Amino acid sequence: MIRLKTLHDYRIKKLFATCLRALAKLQVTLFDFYIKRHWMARYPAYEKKLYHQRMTLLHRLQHLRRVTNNKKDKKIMNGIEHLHEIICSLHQLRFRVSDYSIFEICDREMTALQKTTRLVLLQLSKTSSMQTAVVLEKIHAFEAIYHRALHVVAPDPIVFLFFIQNLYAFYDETLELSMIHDKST
Amino acid sequence: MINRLNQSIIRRGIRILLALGLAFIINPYLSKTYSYWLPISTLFVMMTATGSALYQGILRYLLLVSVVAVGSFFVSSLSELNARLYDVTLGALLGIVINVTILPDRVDSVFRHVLIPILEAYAVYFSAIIALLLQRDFARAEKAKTSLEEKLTTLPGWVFERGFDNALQKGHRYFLIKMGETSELLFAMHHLARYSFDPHLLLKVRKSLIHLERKVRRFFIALTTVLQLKKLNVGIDDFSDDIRKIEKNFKKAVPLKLEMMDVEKDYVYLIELIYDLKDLHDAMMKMAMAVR
Repeated sequence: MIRLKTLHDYRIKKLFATCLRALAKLQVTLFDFYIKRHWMARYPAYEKKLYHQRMTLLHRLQHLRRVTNNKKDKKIMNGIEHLHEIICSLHQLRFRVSDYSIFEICDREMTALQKTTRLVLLQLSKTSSMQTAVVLEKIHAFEAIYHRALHVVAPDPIVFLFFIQNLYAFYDETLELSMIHDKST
Repeated sequence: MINRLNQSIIRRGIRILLALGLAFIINPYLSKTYSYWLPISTLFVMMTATGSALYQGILRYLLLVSVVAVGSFFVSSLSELNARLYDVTLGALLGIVINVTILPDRVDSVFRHVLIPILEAYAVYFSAIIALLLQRDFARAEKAKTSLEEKLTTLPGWVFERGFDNALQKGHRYFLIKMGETSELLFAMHHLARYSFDPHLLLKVRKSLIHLERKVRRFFIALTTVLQLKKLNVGIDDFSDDIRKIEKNFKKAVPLKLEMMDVEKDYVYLIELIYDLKDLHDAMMKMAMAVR
């Protein structure tokens, strides 16, 4: 009986990891919209890639939902679902900025955010200790460039404020998820 | 009742069975190798995405030819290679011809009918998000989201495939991209609606939000009616005025400048929700224009 429970826990852990990895991939592709600005020339190809990554994530979430049955697992499941929502909210920015040359101003900060958010999601999937301080540092760096330049240059600067607010929400959610994770291990 | 998606699967099944049956019948008479290269290549070239039977069939044939040529080059004689290539070509020809001509994919019809349950799920999910925002009904929102996610896995991704009907691809792809944007917007709104706003602030926009919810739901239902090729009893109601009303009420309640907004999370989240509503309106209008 104990062995069966261990097997179930191992399976759930693996599924959580696959969901987080899918989320990390999606996050990287969505950040590419700001960093690799040549995507516009290959718009259908980008959309196809996004479609496949979304489908992978949805299939994995569905699989995970089918096997989660206790309160603790459901809490982690909800956390991943919420992370997905935050990522969707975060990247509404790509539709709200029509002049993509604005992203050249914050290119370095965006690249750093792409790397760290990916790393955090991968660390969460491997249950290794999360470098939360680095994420916070990168968010602060983006906030600084917002106050220094974006706030003045962007035609509608509030959309960057939404982005920052969502970055904080992302940070809070990953922190919460890692705490649930730590308690369970 | 068999739905369009299942009909499409049945049609494909019949095509494959027919082609395989014919391949096995002609194999003893026309095959030069007397092995199973002919039916194998028939089956292989028929494993194409919906709507791309000819293009992907030819690609698969070329792939098979190169694999057979490279494989046979090292281990068998030239005459044996010729015989295998003859069988592969005959099998592929049979597969491609049957795949293109007998009970071909009705891509437009399948596309439309796959989208209908998703649009219905959008309507339910949007109502649940508003209920979460105004009544803190978490369970309803989770249930609606789960249902939508299940349906989204059936989105017709074959529209993106190479070789898909050129005349249809642009329009179908555009519609699918707008569907993707709508899904993202609804998920984004779910995230914002989870936040517990100041009840006094919500009270200012409550009435307009309830009004808007009804209109959005009706809009989604109208889109499904159009996709079913049925006649609309009433016209599609544009809800941009309602969004403007919400924005006006918000500005009346919060007469702050932008610089002050980063202090209050409530304000930033609510104005972000208004932006999401505007974007949802744009995406829905574009979908409506596309199906016209």
